[in-house]
Order: sequence, then structure tokens, then C-alpha cells
Amino acid sequence: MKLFSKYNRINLLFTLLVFLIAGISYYFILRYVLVNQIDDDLKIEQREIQAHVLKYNRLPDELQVKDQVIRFQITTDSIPEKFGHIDMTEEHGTEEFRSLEFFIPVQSQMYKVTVLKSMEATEDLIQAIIAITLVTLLLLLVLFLLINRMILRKLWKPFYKSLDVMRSFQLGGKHSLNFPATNIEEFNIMNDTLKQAFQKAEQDYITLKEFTENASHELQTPLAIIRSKLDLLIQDQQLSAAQSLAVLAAYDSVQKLAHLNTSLLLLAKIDNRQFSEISAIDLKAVVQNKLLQLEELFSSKSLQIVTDLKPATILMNETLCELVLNNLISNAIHHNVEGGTVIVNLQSHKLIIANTATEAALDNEKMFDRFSNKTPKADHTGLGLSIIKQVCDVSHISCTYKYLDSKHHFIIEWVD
Amino acid sequence: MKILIVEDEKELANSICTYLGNEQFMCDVAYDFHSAMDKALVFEYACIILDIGLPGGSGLTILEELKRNDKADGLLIISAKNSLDDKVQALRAGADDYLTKPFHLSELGARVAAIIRRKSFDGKNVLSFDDLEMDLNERMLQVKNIPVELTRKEFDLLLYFISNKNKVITKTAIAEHLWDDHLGVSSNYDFLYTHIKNLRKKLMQAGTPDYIQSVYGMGYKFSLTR
Repeated sequence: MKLFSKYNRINLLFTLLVFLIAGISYYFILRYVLVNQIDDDLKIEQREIQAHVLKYNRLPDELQVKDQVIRFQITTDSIPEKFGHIDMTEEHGTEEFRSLEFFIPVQSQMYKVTVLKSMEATEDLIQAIIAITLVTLLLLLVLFLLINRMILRKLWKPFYKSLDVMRSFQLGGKHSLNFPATNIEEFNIMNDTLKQAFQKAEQDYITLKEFTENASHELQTPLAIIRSKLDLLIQDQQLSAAQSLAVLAAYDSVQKLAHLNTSLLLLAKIDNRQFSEISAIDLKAVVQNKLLQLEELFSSKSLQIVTDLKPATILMNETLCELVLNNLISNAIHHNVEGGTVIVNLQSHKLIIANTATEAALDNEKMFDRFSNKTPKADHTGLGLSIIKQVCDVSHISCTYKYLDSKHHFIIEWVD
Repeated sequence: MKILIVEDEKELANSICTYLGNEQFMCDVAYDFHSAMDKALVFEYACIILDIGLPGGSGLTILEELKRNDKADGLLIISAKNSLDDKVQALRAGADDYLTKPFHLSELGARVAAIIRRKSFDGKNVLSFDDLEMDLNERMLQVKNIPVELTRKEFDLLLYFISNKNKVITKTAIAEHLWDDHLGVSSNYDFLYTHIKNLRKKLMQAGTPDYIQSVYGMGYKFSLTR
């Protein structure tokens, strides 16, 4: 939910709540005040009747005007005076009346006097007042919302600009961080803090990258020495079988280390955008060529290759293209079962490479991370998929994974 | 024939020297820029193995200086940097080949042998070993003057063996040489075994002794065992 909507929602809810409570209280207070006033009028009427009786010793005439009724009834018991409501049906509908009953003795006879005053005018007044009030409040509410919206949008503008800047930021990218200047202190503090944090991250990233790169470079020479010494050692005819096995194990480990190092250097180079030359590549020819090169690997595992290659062109760096195909296809071979299947399906903007899986589905979240493979095989560096991902990222190609019919599917998609 | 090894890592230089040195080659070693420059300019070498990163200067400067003096020595660059730009620059400056560390000594041996062959036979490019004669331009093998049909991989394999004769070559080194990096790190070399078996069979059917000797689980040695 957007900040505006959230704010407006809360705002509206509370305003409506306040309006509702205020409206109800307003109605009752207003009614109370007006009924009190009618009661006062009734009291005045009562005093007039009493004065009349006192003066002439008889009841006044029964009077019935539009909004006032006076009635007399002979009665025996006397109860104290009381106010009340009476609904009277007339030809044009029911009308509510406020009533006052009291007793008055006239010539030793008790009379019950009922004075009624119509509440119609009062109700009309209340309704009118409430209607006017509500309309005013509603107008205010709408006005507030509009003003809020405008002001908020304007006030938060620097925030949204900063958000855009952050979103377009990429570690190791060429863009520098340019937060818009604002005269609001909080935003300035936020921008400064963000800038510092991002610069620190960028710096750490560069340091780490350089470290990896330098470390890998520095490792190449010792590796070359170890390998050369092992190469010399195996020339020795006097080696016993046990010694040979030890040398062989060391040799294999150096081999793995060398490969790992090469892969790390390669990742660093891709990261550094060192493969920037782009050309249109006839993917069908490249894939066919690659399959031919790896023919022996397929037959050594008695794999069945199912190909469906349609003409396709992709715009990317040739070396990187080779690299991705190499990794994808050799993965499909290495992580396959004896006698399994490899499917290569090339369409105009899509390449699918699938293979019979030796294990369950890969973790889509982590599979492209470096060294994420939990059960590394002895002949696996754990960097193959990272390299694929990295190449796809710098080449603006999408690479997705699916697990279907117990086969790993790697899907490469691109647009022109 | 003399070979100059210019490499600041003494141990690596010594390893190369030990591996390449035999009755045919004599090794000379230089550990820094200035002694390398002196030696390269004064003596004639069949091949100079040149490291780019040297104390005192760049190997590329030596390369340029040699070319300016019209020295015809073969030049193999070895570098810790596996960068296409560096490779292109070195080859453009007149180097014959470029090899990235860490390399297999057998790979280095094969590259040096190829450079020397190209320099010394002036385009004839024929390699002999015992009864075998390989025409590298035509990619033909003759055993006692009778042609023997080899596949492309078998021919490359045989060439690699002869370039590293009398040496134990690991399966890994052979596999990397024949299939470049396509294999990844593979511990399964069955397909290599098939090629070697076929090559051995073809050679022996042509009447040669068994040159290929298997050495424990490590690799193979190509030599005259008579």
C-alpha cells in the first residue's frame, strides 16, 4: 500500500468516526435544548391557565390552534404534573406533540389539564441544522483530503526522488548517487545517511572485488610452482605405488584449485565488464559446434541428445556466449545419469537445455549463489551456475530454472 | 640448442629448466629484467620463455627490444594474467605463443617444441620419432613410409606425446590439451582411454613397438623401450 493511501485511509476513518460521534451528540444536545424551550412554553401556558382559573374561577375555553392544543377532563384523583410525548394522527399524517399534564381544582371539581405543543417545527429545525452542519463538514472533509493530497505529494516529493535514485543504484555500477537537494531537514539527514551508507557499501564492494582479484592473481604463481613440482615428481621412476597415489591426490587437488581460481578470476572479469564487445551471434551454429566438441563426453556417459534447433541470433559478447553454452551443456552432462537424456531446444528468442536429474530440484533461491551447492562433487567448483548468472546479468539476458519430469531445465531468454 | 627461461619465481624457472633440459636442449635462466635483457640480446636462443611481470621491468619491453634488434628467437610468453587483451598485445608485438599460469609442464613442452619446429624447419614442418614421421602441414602419419590413417584427436594426441617424449604426462594434462576447457574439472577420463587404446592399436598394427606406457593411475609415457 502506498504511503498516501495508507495515510488517507487512516485519516478518513478517524474523521468519519469523529463526525459520527459529533453528529449524534449534536442531535441530542440540540433536541434537549429545543425540548426544554417547548417545556418552558408549556409552563407559561400552565401559569396562564392557573391565573385564569384564579381570576374567573372557571376554566378557559378549550383551544385548538395549529400547533397548540388544550384539553380539560374531569377527574377524581390528583397526581403531580408531568411532561410527556403524544403522537396524534391527523389527516396529513402522524404528528408528535410535547404534552404537559397537570391538575387544577375549579369549583371543588378536579380537572386534568393537558397542554400539547407540536414538535414539528422543532424537528424541522433540528433536521435543517443537522443537514447544514453535515454538508459543511463533508465539504470540509473533501477539501481536507484534496489539500492533504496536494501537500503530501509536494512534501514527500524529495523522498520519492531519493527512492528513485536508490532503486537505480547498482553496486559496482557506473552511476554516482545524486540525491536531490531539499530544504527539509529530515530528508536531508536521510539523504546524507543513505549516501554515506551507499558509498561505504560501494567502497567495501570494490575493496572486496579487488581483494578477490588480487588474491586469485597471487595464487596463480604458487599454483604454477606446485603443479610444476608435481609434474617433475611423477617423472621419477623410483616412486612407489603408495607415493604415486599421494602425488596423484595432490595433483588432482591442485587441478581443482587451479580451476576454482580461474573461475574466480573469470567472475571478477565479467564483473568488471571486461567483455564488452558485442556482436550478433548465429546461435544455432555455435550450439551445433559446441555439441560436436562435446560429442565424446556425451558418448562416454551413453547420453541421448535430443535437439530441436531453429535459427536464432543473439546480440552478446562471443566469449561470454561460448562460456554460458559450455557451462550449461557440460553441467547437463556432468549432472546426468548413465544413459540419461540431454535436451537442447533452440527457438528464435529462447534456449532450453534440460537433462535427466541425478538429484532433486535445485533451490531456485540459492542455486546461482557462489558455492551454494551443499553436496559438492569432487569435480565441481561450485561456481559454474554463478558464472552463468553473472554473464546473463551483464548481457541483459534472463536465465531461469525449472524442474519438470525429473529433469533440470535451464531456460535462457533474450529480446532484440 | 639453447632455451632461455625468464621467470622471477626461481622455483618455477628451475622446474621448467629441469623438465625441458635434456640431451637436445640446454637451459639458461634469468630471474630479473636486466639479466634477461642482457642474455637475450647477447646470445642466440631457439626459444625464450618470457614472464611478463618481472622485477625491474615488463617482459613485453624485452620482447619489443628483441624485435627491434631483428632477433629471430622463438618467444613464448607465460603470464599469470589470463586476459585476451594481454594475449593479443603480446602476439601482436611478435610473440609466438602465450600460456597462462598455472600450466602443465607437458603443455609448455609441447608449445616450445612447436615453436622451435616452426622456426627451424622453415615451413616443412615434419616431425620424426623412431619409425614415425608426422607431416604437420598435411596432418599425415607415415610409419616406415606407409601412411597410417588417424583421426584428428589421435593425431593431436600423438603429436603431444612425441613433443613430450620420455616424460610422464598426466591424463589431466592430455585431456586439457585435447579438449581445452570444455571438460571443466572432470575426474572421468574414460573417453581419453578410448583414444589412447585406438592410437596404440593403430601404431602396433603398422608394425611399431608399443611406445605408450601406462604409469600407475597417473598418466602415460611415450618412449622407445627397445
